[in-house]
Amino acid sequence: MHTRRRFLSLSAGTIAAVASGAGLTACSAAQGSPGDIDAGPPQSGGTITLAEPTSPIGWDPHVGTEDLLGLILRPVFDSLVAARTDGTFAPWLATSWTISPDGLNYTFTLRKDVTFTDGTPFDAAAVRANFDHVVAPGTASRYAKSLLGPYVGTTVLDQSTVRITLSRPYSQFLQAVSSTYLGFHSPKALREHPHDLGSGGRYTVTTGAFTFASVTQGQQAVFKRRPDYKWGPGSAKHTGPAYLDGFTVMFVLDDQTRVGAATAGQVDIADQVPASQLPVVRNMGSVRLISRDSPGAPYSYYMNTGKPLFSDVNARKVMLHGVDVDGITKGLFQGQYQPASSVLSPSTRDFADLADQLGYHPDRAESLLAALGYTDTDGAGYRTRNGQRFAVRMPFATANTTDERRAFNTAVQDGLKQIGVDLVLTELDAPTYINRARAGDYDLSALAWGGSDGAVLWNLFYSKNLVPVGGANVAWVADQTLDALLTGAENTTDQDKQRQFYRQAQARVIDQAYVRPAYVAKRGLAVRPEVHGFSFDAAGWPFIYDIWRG
Amino acid sequence: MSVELALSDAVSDEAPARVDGRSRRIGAWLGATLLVLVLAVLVFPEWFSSGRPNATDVRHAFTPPSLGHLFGTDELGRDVYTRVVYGAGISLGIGVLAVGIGVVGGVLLGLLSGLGRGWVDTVAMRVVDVLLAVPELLLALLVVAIIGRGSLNVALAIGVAAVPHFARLVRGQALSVLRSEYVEAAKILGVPPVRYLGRHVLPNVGGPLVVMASIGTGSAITAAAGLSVLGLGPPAPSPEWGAMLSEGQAYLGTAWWIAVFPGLAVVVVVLSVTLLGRGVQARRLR
Repeated sequence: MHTRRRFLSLSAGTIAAVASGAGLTACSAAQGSPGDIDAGPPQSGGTITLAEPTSPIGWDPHVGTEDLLGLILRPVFDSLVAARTDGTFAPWLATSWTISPDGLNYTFTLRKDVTFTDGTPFDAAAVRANFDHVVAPGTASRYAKSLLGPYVGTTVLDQSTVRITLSRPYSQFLQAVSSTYLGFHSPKALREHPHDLGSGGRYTVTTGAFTFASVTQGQQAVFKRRPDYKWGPGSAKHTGPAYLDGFTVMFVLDDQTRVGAATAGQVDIADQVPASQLPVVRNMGSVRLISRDSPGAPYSYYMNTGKPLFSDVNARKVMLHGVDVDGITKGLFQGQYQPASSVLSPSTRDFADLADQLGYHPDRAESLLAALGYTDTDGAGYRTRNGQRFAVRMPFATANTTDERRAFNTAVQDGLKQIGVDLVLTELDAPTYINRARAGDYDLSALAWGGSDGAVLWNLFYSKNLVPVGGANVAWVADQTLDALLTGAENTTDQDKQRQFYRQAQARVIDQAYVRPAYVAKRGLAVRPEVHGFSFDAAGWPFIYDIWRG
Repeated sequence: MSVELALSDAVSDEAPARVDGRSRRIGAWLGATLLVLVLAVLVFPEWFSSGRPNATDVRHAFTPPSLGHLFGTDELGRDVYTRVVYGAGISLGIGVLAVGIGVVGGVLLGLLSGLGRGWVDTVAMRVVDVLLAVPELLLALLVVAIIGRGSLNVALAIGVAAVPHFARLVRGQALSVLRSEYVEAAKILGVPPVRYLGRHVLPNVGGPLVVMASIGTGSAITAAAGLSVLGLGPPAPSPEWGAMLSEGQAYLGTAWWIAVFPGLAVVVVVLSVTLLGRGVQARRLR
């Protein structure tokens, strides 16, 4: 436990990578609800059990970064607005909102009938207390704070009107306040036990459709319906209380066991079915397989431009063209996953297809190596320059490397060996790994990063978002051209312009070979037939509020 | 992983089960033959497979067993047969090294205890008692957790976990020999301890030690594979059998051959070592 706590208290960037590393991805523009094949009117009552691979380490969404934290607490924490799957926003705790012409002020009109479970009314002061809690240094927020972006402050205009002021235009703001991470604790809870918010259970006092009944760390978390709930998100299919009496989330790390629990009927939904199990589950009568592409940045190899080896663009291009990444994806995943054709996945808004620049050209890679001076070959068949191998150091943490990623890395290692490049894979425990990541002591780092649109690029490539300060710029990119494109996108609310910026940014990233995109994973869920009303919300998570048990 | 049972069985003074001598001899010969074959594979893997154990060929991943790939190919298109062949050296090496560590540590601790008597004996044997109370695998896990993963470390971990078993055996044997008249005579004649230990005690301890070590080797190989399955063995892409089992288990439903053949290899080797060990044991008891 000690290890995991330290693990979490370290870099936000790394942690979010870890979360998405397990195949979890946040925020997507979903395409409908593939699992919803139900007939008949929804029924109230019953409970369901969900199996997830890991447990969030803390339970305060204002602090934690894990995707899983947002998923599990989504039915517990309400937001100001609800993101629809088409990219628009519906009312939730705010009935309406206006944005000032300069994009610096967002004014929300709040519902007047909302209460926290401790009886405290939800009002403008509650909004201010929560957003101020997120940015307070004592909270040590690792993700929610970055979501608030250029937040200056909250002004209470009257009991049900609140204005949020930003220091510069921030096109992602509505998206941000629609997320679980900017949900609302009871102001009373914030005042009376600020240090227990991460413990979950009875310390989590919210306005949500479910209350957090109990948690057994590492085993399960139990949630109960709130019967008087009547302020559901406008994006939902129904209003009023949730259908389910409650739901339980069990934490089952082993893939086989988790999927097996669903097929055996011990749990109702098993999340994150690995690629190797997708065809097995698909052919199984006892469960439905619901799968969708994971939006955001797919699993990719980021080259550390801050280290001598990859400071030269030509050295980076060796990695871009030297390995048959498409072939590995097809062979290893047997068509279940697709090769990545950009640093964003195709289901991500603002995606630009750059497959023609990512071809496998071993000859080109070898001539690049020769031009770099790696002309000799040592006894083991690796190319050398002045007796030094072209050795690429890639440390990785056991905890965030799934079996499929491990296999992929091994295949890449052998692929690189064919052109004389030595990929040195070193497995480390999480704290050691994070220390090395923060120190930038690596040549290659592989991760996937969840997100719904091009804003992911800002996390991954903006020069100031470095790993030591909680960013995800694991390639240590400091590129003024790229920074200009990313800031341009941040500052405009015009979606077409934004898309242009993000498309150019993707092209720039590939042109400069900061990253070698690998494969686009699918999020697969094994769902029992008793589970009805299943759909994904805009974040790509199971929408528990609408689920009912038949 | 009933290493403990196998070991205590090996040194019991009664014949373990009244299996008749003939079938035991046949078993021993079978074990020896298999072992010779395995040793040949270990020493000259290139005679048995022309491939490279870590060569990937993703376009031919998940190929079922066929004439081209006797044991099929794995998720990266690597030939499972070639990997099993090249894995023999690693898996057996870990087993033998582990038992070696167990024997050396056990002999030292056992002799010290037997010779020292008094408080040295009491302290050493209480330590041994405590270690014996902890399941071997758990002890090995603890050692790996402290010193880290990898082939050598796994061997060391299993070896350390086996030390108390060997120590107890050696102490028992040493005590009985040390009380014998000829050793008493040697002491009276002023023969230095090193001399009578080497001439009388060790040879008498040797017999049961060989039996225990040969049977223990099988258990050690299984334990090593077990630690590898838990992800504590040599890192990828090592063709160590336990690691192969671990990687293959994800595909049991779709490509059984990836895990089954390395599993069978473990079974065959452990069986042959154990059969041979039992044969030697029966011979000694006769």
